[in-house]
Amino acid sequence: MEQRFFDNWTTQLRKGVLELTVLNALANKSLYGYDLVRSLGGDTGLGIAEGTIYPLLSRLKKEGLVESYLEDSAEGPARKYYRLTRAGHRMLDAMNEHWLAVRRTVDAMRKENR
Amino acid sequence: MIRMTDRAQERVDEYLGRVRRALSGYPEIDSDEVVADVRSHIQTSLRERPEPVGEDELTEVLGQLGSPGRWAPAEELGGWRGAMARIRRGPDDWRLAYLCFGLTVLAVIAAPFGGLLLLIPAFVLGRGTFAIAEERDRPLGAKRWLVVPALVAAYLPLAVVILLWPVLVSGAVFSPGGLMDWMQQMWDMPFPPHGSPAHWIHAVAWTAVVTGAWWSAVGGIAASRPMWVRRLFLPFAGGFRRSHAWGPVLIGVLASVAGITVLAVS
Repeated sequence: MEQRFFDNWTTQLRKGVLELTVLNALANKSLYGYDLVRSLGGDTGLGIAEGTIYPLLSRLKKEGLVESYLEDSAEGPARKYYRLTRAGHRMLDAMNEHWLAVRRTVDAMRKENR
Repeated sequence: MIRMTDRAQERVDEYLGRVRRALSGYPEIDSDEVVADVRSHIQTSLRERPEPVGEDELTEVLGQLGSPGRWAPAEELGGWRGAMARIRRGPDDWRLAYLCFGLTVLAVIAAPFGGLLLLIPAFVLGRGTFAIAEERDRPLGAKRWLVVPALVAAYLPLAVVILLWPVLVSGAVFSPGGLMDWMQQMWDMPFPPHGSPAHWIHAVAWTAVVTGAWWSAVGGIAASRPMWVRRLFLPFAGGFRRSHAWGPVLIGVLASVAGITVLAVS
């Protein structure tokens, strides 16, 4: 029962945090889709399967927060890179601000409990 | 492009099909683009492996990508689209298998009152159970026996119809009052009289020609698309391979040739 509650909670948390993580990963640089997915999948604490990132990138693209472009590669076919749009940067600033506010509240409550 | 073994390539195609199905219905996701991205991801992941890449290496990559069914949860879809997605995917637990078994038992008990129609939803639930287990990479184990009766009840008649419909049709064509008699009346065609040995030879030879041609065609399709057979008869045809299809093709060709020879001689 406890484990189930914890699993549900982490699932909900992950859903909200994943967008923020992806946008932050793209904040200052363009990233090759494959590298972005490999860096966020695996043992990162997010506990997500790598494939989860692709539908998310597609959704962020349709929302106009992220754009993609192809760049030639010496190792094979052209690679698809992702970067933030202007709207993406604005959204990321707002999300980071909100994230910090939430974090401050949670940290304050934890301090009170100590 | 990375070269893969036939089986590995089939698994990639199967996996990408699951990606497309899992993401269909989400207007905010471009499933074509995601499929292309995942295909490219698989190719990039395997680029340093010795070619042709086999199933083992592929399994590792697909395992890291995860189950497409979990990439976009149905609860994110609102309104009727969410409801449709949930119905299409079914509940994520074992109740589906028990429900399938319950419907099968009810269908048998209520058979005199048209209860056999319940086998249709039982079959759909059975396929759904296997599809979920496959998508989540969780073997059904002993619970598969709750689902198997409903599937067998559907697959057996289906297999008989697919393989033997020319024989069934021949019965209608060559029996008294059948198509043969009608053609004889319409165009005064010289068919042997009913009950005579020549009539039987004629009927059997034509049946052999048509059935043989059909088996050759079905075998050819199964050989070129073995995955269709595996999916049609899921989970019983999981071991079906291209080579298995050549048997029906050979039998079909031999039957047709034998039938044509008999018709030519008689």
